[in-house]
Amino acid sequence: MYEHADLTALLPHRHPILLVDRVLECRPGEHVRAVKTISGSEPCYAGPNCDDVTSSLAADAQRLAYRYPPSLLLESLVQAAGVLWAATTPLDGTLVLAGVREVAFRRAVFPGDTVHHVVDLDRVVGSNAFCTGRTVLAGAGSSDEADGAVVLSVAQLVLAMRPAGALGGPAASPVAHSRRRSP
Amino acid sequence: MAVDEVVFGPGPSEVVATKHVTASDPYLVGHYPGFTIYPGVFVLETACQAVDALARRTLAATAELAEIRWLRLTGPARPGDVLRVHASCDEITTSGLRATVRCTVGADAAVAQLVLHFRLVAHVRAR
Repeated sequence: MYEHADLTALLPHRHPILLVDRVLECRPGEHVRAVKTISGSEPCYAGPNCDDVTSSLAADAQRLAYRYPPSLLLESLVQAAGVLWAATTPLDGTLVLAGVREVAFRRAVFPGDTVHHVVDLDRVVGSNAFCTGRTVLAGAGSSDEADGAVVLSVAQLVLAMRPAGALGGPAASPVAHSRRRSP
Repeated sequence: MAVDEVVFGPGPSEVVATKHVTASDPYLVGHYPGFTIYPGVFVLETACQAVDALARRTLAATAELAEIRWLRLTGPARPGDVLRVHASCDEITTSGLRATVRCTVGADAAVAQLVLHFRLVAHVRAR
């Protein structure tokens, strides 16, 4: 298991965009299960957008205004994949998302919800890692496979390790210090 | 916070959103400290907000992201860059639409391409 402090050693991300709270299980080269709890105090809930919508729309649309943004939910899953890769091979460079294919957002999640990201590492080719994954609502049923529990499914996710300097940054751009730990 | 300006057009189902990337944006201070890159998923967010703005204006509906058919990130957006997101919508029904999106910075340097499907949730005025 990785606690939040361990994750800062594996990923370059920091508050407020370190979007994995804890890793429950990590088998390097194979599989990771990570936890993310959505909070109403995250920066995405600041600003006028939410207030504007609640003043003019019906209840369903009001509730929808507080849906956790799919982009951040996907980022959270991508970071879980990054933890898996970093635990498999020390990362040397800047970790970026290269692409995704067939990502289905099956249900909305809201502040107070806890989700689990389950990611499998399919293969590593050069400086790219290919993963599949899904996000399930914790406590929604006895099984991850229960239809109602699936929040997000990802048929393919590609992470890339870009050499320092390739992204126009400083020669010594910050990278995660990969540190093997027993899960 | 992922969009600074939205311009509708040039076609009736097209929209262009721009975002000035700045290192002081709320989420960007952590991505990454000392070396800011606009996160790939924020390009997605900018596209989603652009399409939602178009749906609100022309369809009286909220556009809710249902599926990313594919997304390819081909170059970085860094502080000082102006991200330009052009979305073109088709397959528009009462329940959904498809958006084909091309994202660039500077003089047309490609940053990302996306094909997205949205659910449409019709607006009903509160009584």
